[in-house]
Amino acid sequence: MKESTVNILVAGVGGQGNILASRVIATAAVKSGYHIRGCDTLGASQRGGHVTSHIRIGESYSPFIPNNMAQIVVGFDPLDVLMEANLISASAIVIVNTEKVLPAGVKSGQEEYPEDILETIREIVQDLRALDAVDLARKAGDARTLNVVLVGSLAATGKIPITPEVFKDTISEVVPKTTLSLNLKAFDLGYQAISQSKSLTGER
Amino acid sequence: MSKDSPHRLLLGNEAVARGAIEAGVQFVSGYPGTPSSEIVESLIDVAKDNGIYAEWSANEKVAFEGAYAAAIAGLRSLVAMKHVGLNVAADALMVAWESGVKGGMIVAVADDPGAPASQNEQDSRLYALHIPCFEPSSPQEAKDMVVRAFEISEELEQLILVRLTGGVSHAFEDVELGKITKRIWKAKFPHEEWPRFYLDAGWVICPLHKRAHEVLTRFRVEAERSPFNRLEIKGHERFGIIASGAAYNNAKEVSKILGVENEIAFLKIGISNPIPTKLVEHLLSAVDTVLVIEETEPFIEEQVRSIALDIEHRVKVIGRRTGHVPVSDCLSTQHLTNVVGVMVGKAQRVLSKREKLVERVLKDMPSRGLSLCPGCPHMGSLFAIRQVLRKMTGKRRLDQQGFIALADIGCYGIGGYPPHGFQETEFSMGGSISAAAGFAHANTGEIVVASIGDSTFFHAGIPALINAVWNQAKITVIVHDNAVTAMTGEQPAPNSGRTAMGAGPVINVEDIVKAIGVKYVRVVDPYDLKATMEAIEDAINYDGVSVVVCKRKCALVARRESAAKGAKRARVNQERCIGEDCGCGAFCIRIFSCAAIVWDSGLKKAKIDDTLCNGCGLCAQVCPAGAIVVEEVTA
Repeated sequence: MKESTVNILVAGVGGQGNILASRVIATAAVKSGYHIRGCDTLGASQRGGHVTSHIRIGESYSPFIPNNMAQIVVGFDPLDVLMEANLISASAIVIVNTEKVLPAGVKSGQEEYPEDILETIREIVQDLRALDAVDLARKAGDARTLNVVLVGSLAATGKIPITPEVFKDTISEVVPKTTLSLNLKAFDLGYQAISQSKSLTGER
Repeated sequence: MSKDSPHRLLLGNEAVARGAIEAGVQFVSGYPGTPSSEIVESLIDVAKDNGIYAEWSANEKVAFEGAYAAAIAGLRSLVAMKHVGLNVAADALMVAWESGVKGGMIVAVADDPGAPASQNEQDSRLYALHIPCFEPSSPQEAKDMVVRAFEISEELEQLILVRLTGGVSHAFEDVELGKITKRIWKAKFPHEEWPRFYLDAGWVICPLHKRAHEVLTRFRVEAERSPFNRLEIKGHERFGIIASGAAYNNAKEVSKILGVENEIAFLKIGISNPIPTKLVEHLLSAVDTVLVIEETEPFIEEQVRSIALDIEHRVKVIGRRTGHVPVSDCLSTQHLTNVVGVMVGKAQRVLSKREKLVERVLKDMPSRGLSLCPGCPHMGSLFAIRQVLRKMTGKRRLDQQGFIALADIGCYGIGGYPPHGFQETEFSMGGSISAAAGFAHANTGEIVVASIGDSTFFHAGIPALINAVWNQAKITVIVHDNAVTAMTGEQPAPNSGRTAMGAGPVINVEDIVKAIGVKYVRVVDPYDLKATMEAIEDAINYDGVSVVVCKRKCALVARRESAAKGAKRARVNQERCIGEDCGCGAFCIRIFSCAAIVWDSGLKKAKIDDTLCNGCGLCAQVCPAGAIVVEEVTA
C-alpha cells in the first residue's frame, strides 16, 4: 500500500507541553501546504495523565491513527510511548525523552515502571532515538522548553515534509515573545541531538 | 488543498465557534464541561471585537434560558454544554421547542462516548425528537453546519441541536474559512405574538406542539437534499454502511484498511433528525446488508429499521440491536475493524509475533491515573478529611463500615482513587449533598461527609443544601473552594471576581451557606492542615448540617498570578529523611502522594522535583520526621 499519509503520534504526560507541541507540528504542516487531520486524547485530568495527540499529514478519513500505522513517534516519556505500542508501525522512527515521569502508583510502590523499557521499545520498532530532552531544555535555559526540544528532534528526522524554517516561524507565533530566543535555542538543541544521533536499533 | 480561501487549523469546538461568528452570532452562553468547553472559550476571546455578548453561566439551565431569551428577542444565539449539562437544561429545552425562536438559536452539545471525562455515556440526540439535529463528522463540517443551521433555525423559527462527540470536538483540521457576517439586530420582544411564549395551558401548548411537528415536516424536504447527507454508491455493492459523526470517518478508514472501500456503499448522515428517508430507502433497496454505525445509542438504526419495513426489497439491517456493534465505548478504528470485517467476511487475521509481544507488554503496564497538581489546595483538604475519618472511626480501608464519603463533579473527585481512596460515590452535579442527606435519613449509622467544589456548589449544590437544612439531615459538607471552575480549564465561577467579559462581583460560598441557615460554618485554609482537620472533626461532631469551606485559590491560577513574585520550594533534608522507616513506609509518597515528591530508589529516601514543586508546604506538615523544609527561592 502506498503510504501517502504521514502519521505522527505525540505521547506524553499532561503538563509536559505535548498538546502545544502537537499544535506546532500541525500548524507547521498546514503552513507547508498540507491537509491535516488529528485529534487530542486527554481525560479529565489537567496534569499527570497520559495524553496523546494524533497528527495525520496528507489525506485521511479518521483523525485517529489506526493500529500499526504511526510512522513517527514523539515520546515525552518512554512509558507513554509503550502504552501506545498498538498504534506504532514496525518501521517507525521513535524519538523518546529518557527522563521519566513516574506514575503515582510507581512512586508509592504499588506498580512497577517496566524495567529496560528502551530495550522493549527497541524490540517493537525499527529506529529508536533516545535523548535526555529535559537536560537539553535546561541547557536552553528552561526545563519547560522540553516540548520544543522534541519538536526540533522531529524536524531533524527528515521524515516529514516540513522545513526547520517553517517550524521556527510557527514557534515564534505561538510562544510568548519574552521566551522566543529560549525556545529557538531549545529547537536547535533538539535538532542537533537527532542529526548527530545514531539509531539505537540500526545495527539489527 | 485549495489555496484560494484562508485555511486555519481549528479544533472541532473552535470550528463551531468560527461558524457562529461567520453567521453573526450575538449572544453566547454556556457552562464549561469536557469535551465542550472550547466552544464558548474561543467565542469569549473574540466577543468584544465582534460585538458579541458572552457569558459563563452558573449552570446549563440558566445558560440555555438566557440564550433562548435572546433568540426570542430576535438575536442569533448559541448555548454550549456537555451532554450531562443538557440534562440540566432539559427542563427548558423540552418546552422551548414548542414556542420556537425568532432569531436563530443553536444548542451545541458535546457527548463523550467512552466517557474519558464524564460520569456517563449519553446520546444527546435522544432529546432531538422535536427539533432538527445536525451531526458533524469533522471540524470543517462543524463550521459549515453551524453557519447553515443558523439560517435554517431562523427560517423555521425553531432551535437546532448541533450534536458533537469527543472525536469531533477535540479533532483538529485545516478548516477553510468563510466570510464573517456582522449582524446588527436590535433586540425586540415579539409582544404582538402573545400567547406564543406564555405556555400556560393546553389551549396554547397543543397548537404549538403541532407547530413543532409541522416545522419538522417542512424541514424534511431540505434535509433530504442537504449536502450534509451523502450517498456514496456505484450500484454493484452488496454491503452498505449508514454512519454519522466521527464514526463515519472511522468506518471509511477501516474499509480502506481492509481493502473493501469499493465493495461498500456508504450513506453519510449529517442531519440525523429528520433522517433523509429517501436516501435511506435508496441504499436499503440497493444492497443485501446494511450496517448502521453511530455513537452512542441506536438513534438512526431504529429509524432505518422502520424504513426497511416499508420497502419491498428484503435487506438485513445490522447494528447494535443485532449485537454487531458494541453497545458501549467510542467507535474507534480499532473497535470498527472487527465490526466491518465481520460484515464483509474478512475474519480477524492471526496475530503476528510482534503483535503478540505488544499484547504481552501492554498487560503489565503501570497506569497514569488521575492525580492532583502539586500545590493543589484539594490535596490538603482531602488529606484532612481522610485523616479525620480514620481517626474518628478507626477504619483504614474503604470496605469497612464507619463512614460514607461522597464526591461531586470536579478535581476533588480524585479522592476516590488511591492513595486517598476514601470517596465512594460520584454521580451528578450537586448530588453529593442531596445523596448525603439521603444516606443520613436512610440511617446506615455511619458518618456522612460530602465533598463539593465551589463552581459545582453554585451550579446545583445550593438547592441540595437548602433541602438538607430544611429536612434536618445530619451531614457534613466540605466545600473545596478554589475560586474557579478548575477541572475544565479554570473558567471563572461566581466567586472568581470576574465574568467571561471582565470584572465581576464576588459571591462568597460561606455567605450563601449562612443565609440558608447552616449553624456550623467554618472557613479554613487547606494549606493549614491542623486547622482544617480540627474544623472538620468539629463539623462531624456537630448535630445537624455542618459546612467547612476549604478556601484557597487553584494552584495553577495562583502560580500564574504569582509567577513574577518570589517563589517557595520544598526541600528534603536528606540527613533527617528516614525513608521507609517513618512509620508508614515513605509516608509522604505512599499516603500523602504529591506529584512533586519523588522516591530515590538508590538512596531509599524522598526528594523533591523542583520543576514541579510549588512550595505549598503541605508535605512539610505531613512528614513524621520533620525532614521537609520550605525555602524562599531567590531568582
